[in-house]
Amino acid sequence: MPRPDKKKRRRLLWQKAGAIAFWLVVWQLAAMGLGHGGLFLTTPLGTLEALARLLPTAGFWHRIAFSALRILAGFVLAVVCGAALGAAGARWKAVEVLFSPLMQLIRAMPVASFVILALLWVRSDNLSVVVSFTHVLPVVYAGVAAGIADTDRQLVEMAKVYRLPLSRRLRYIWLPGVFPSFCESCAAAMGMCWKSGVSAEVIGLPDDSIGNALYRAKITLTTPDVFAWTLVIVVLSASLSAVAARLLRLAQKRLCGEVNA
Amino acid sequence: MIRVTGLCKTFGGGDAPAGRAGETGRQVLAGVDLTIDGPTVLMGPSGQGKTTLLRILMGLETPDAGSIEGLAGRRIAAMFQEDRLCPQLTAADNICLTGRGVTRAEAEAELRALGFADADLKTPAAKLSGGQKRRAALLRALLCRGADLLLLDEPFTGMDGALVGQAAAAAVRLAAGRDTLLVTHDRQAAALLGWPVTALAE
Repeated sequence: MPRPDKKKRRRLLWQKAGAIAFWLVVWQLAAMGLGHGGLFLTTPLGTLEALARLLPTAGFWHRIAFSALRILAGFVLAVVCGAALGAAGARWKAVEVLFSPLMQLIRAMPVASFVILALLWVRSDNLSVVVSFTHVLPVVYAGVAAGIADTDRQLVEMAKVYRLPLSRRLRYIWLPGVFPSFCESCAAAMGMCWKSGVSAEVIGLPDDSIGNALYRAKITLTTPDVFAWTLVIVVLSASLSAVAARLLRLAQKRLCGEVNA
Repeated sequence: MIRVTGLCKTFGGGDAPAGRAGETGRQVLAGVDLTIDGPTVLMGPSGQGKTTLLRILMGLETPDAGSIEGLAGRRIAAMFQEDRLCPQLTAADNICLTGRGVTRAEAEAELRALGFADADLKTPAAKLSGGQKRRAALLRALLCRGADLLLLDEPFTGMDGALVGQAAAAAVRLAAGRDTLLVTHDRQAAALLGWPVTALAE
């Protein structure tokens, strides 16, 4: 007999599947209602057919590799810089004062404005690295700063009295304090970097990118391809968010879990 | 030996210690004299500044006046009013984290002697009971062998009669030969220790 929590989880899973099925039906009906052979709205089946047509082509995988490498490079760079700046900002007030306006400006700036400016400075091939970096940076910076602020001050005092070495303070007090908010910001940032990165590609049109394929599908009115590429972006973003969250949880467990004695 | 002379501390608007925020212009220590030479029990009613005195000795507060001799260079192990255990670590891991030269086996043996079952030893501190946390925090201070000054703030809070006896015996055994200041308002627990008692004058 299944345990109550297992039963509850299974019911929740069915509810989620039901909700997805409901929206697929709505999508199908809307596409059929609009007509015009799916020019304005492709059916779910039409999207899957387009995807099935794209999947076996080398160009499809080449575009995914091109975009993913650049967007993820921007993401990783931003996570490293955001974490370092967030920690420095928490340690030195002057750093926080210096960087706060910049972070606020980046957060408020529309992707399109930033892309157009960035196109003046970098080649369109590397545009998504820069755009992904700049959109992830303030999110991770804020996440790390909030995590440091949330760290238990009583444990910090305890470490001071016992004169714990910096490595142990970082590993067992600061990291566990910062990790929840850092992980949350990384998961949110992963979604944002795909949105901003592909938007940049749609404007900058680097050859071999997903954004370029999306734009070409739009101007040739190949609506099923627009939907198929959008589905690919959503799946990539969601699955990489899940992978990042899992890796960070594993890292937390490994780094902060047990004392070597 | 540590000699405290004429120690004064008044908390103004924003510098009250943890848990006493909002107290304004209140003098908690007024010319306290104290000598710590070996183990010492400091007794006194609540609100007389015992915790503040400990926090000054720990270097977490600065006195307004007075002097402390013999504190420079001392390595301190402390049991705070709160448990202050790393919540994700087990009790033994918390002890090993701060204890120089203590092995996990020793830490677990001492925890068992204070009533920890095998399952408790695998439990993260966050999920231990209040009394278990208190015992783990006490052992963390006592097993910090590199420390030559132990400061213990109300170590027996939340322990019942039998456990107080066991914890007091552990304190006597493990603190031997080190300067120790144990603060309590529990006369029975103080009597179990058999250490010299000093009262903080009102």
